[in-house]
Amino acid sequence: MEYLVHLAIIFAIYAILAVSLQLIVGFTGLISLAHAAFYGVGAYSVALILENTGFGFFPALVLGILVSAIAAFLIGIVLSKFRDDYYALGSLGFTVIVFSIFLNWQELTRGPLGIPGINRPELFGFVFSENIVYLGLALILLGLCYAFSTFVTKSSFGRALQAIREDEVALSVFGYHTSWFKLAVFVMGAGMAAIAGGLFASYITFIDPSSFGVPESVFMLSVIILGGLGSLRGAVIGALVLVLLPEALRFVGFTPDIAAQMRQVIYGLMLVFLMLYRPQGLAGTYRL
Amino acid sequence: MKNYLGAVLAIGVIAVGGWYLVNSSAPKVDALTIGVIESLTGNAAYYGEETRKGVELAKKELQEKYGDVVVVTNHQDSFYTPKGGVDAYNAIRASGPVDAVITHASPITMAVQPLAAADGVLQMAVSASVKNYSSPNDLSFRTSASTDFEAERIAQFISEKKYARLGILFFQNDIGVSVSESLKAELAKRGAETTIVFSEGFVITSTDFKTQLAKLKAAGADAVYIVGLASNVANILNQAADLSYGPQFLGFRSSEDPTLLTNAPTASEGFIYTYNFDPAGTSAPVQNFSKAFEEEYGHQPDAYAAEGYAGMKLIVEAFVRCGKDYACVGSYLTSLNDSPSVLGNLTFDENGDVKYDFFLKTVKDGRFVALEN
Repeated sequence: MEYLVHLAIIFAIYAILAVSLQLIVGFTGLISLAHAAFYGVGAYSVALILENTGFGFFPALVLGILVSAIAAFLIGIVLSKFRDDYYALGSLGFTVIVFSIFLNWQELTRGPLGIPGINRPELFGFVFSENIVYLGLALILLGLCYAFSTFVTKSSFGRALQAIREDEVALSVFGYHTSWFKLAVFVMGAGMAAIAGGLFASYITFIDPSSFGVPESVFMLSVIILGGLGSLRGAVIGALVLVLLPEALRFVGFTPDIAAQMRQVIYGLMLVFLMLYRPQGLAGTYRL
Repeated sequence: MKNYLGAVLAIGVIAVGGWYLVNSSAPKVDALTIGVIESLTGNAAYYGEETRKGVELAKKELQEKYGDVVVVTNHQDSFYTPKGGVDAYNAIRASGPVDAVITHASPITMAVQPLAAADGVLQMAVSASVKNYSSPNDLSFRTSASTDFEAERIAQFISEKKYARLGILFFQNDIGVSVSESLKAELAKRGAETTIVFSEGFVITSTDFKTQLAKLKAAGADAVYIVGLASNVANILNQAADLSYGPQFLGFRSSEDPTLLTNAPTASEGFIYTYNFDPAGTSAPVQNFSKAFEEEYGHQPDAYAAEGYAGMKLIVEAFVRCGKDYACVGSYLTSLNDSPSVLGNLTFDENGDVKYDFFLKTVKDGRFVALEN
């Protein structure tokens, strides 16, 4: 039971990341590899605020969202001038920079040594120390992010985002400042990624830069591509599959000397077959 | 009548004494489940795999020694990430009650520590020398000595050899930073006449070190200390040879991996590094372990296998003596002083930190051998 609760928490964290990234990639057509950076900014902000100030988790989380949103705004001003592969490369560069800051600014982040002993959230004296309670918090935040993203995608703003995805030039002909739309959705996505980062930091209670590098961004992109682009439901399904699949494979009865390697082979093969037979993803409406 | 009573009394005393002796030496536990969280895939897979072999060999020997004690190990891959470590820990816990957990590598060890502490599970860390793991009066122990001990030995060597200009190249992870910082502190403490002319980190997946080597050459470093995986060290040594740059290269324990010999067969000759295990050692525990390991796996054990082996043995011996009395288990391990093992004589402190001597090894004629003189 405890294991299932743990997996559900990890799923909720990745579902928040996937839903927020879906807004940027699936609905706006911007291939962003910067999501792990905002996830990390949220995690480090919460960890550092909890460690160095008297703030509790929730004020720290709000500040983490703000820090991440400001960072997204600053980098987004540059990125929103691009699209397609240039956007991907620019966002990749940002992730590399942020990762390097986590790794090298040792006075602030403790670098590769990581930050241990991050406190669990506390609200009016109630500590979310039990995993089942923590799961409740994670699901509430996922629900809020999902509801917010649904609202965004169904609004006229969301329709403009989808129009940018389909034909940015045509939309700009109608007088839309597409770069502002791209900047706005990028900032929203970054803010939600920071929520996931804050949850991750206070759940695992230890963070180091290895959790927020380029491979993590690629993994998040895989989640939404597998789940299906242009669908919030697909993002959640993708997170469910990619979080649970490797864990389920832990229980396949290989001998210990080959188990870990075989799990990775099977995991890779399943993803390849899935993309071969379901290239639009599990619940996708749009293909890159 | 007196003689008769005396005889009965003597028989009684002998019977009670015999009963006590038999029962005090009998295992106080009949089954143990030990979770083992290793890096079985990814950059640190070699080290995790050797740890796994050491753990399994110890398990086999312990089961032969304590026939009535059933020891079950549950190995899980951490993917060398903290999250992977937490996933693995929860997967192990989901499989049933766990008495102890062995965690391989520092980031994973650090992530699992609060969970194991909250669950009251004994934790034995291997290949985890990061300082933050030290915590008093709990159930966290380790068979990797803190980075300070390893740095102390290489600092002593550097001082003795009077290298004037030292360069440091370290991989940018917890171990790389800890070891390089410990070395700097130790050299300063010794008042060594060595100037550190260059110190730079590199990403663990780096393969091109020519820029750093060119800087080291320009800085005139006559010794270069490398904290990296064997694959990193091999690349550095090969590329230094290409640049005709030949300072004395020094390293730390992760240098000993067959990768170094296969990837840099010529350039690795004369490379000197600190290590905590010598398979050719003359002590009985080392000889027995090396022989059994070679028979089982067809190659010599290394420090990672030895740490896993020692960790597993310590755990089982503690439970055999104390049963599931965790206070007793903790006290037993903390009380170990100069206890013979494959890693030399082990002494634990109240933080669960182990102390033992590091020594120097070198590559000679394509083999890892102890450095003489």
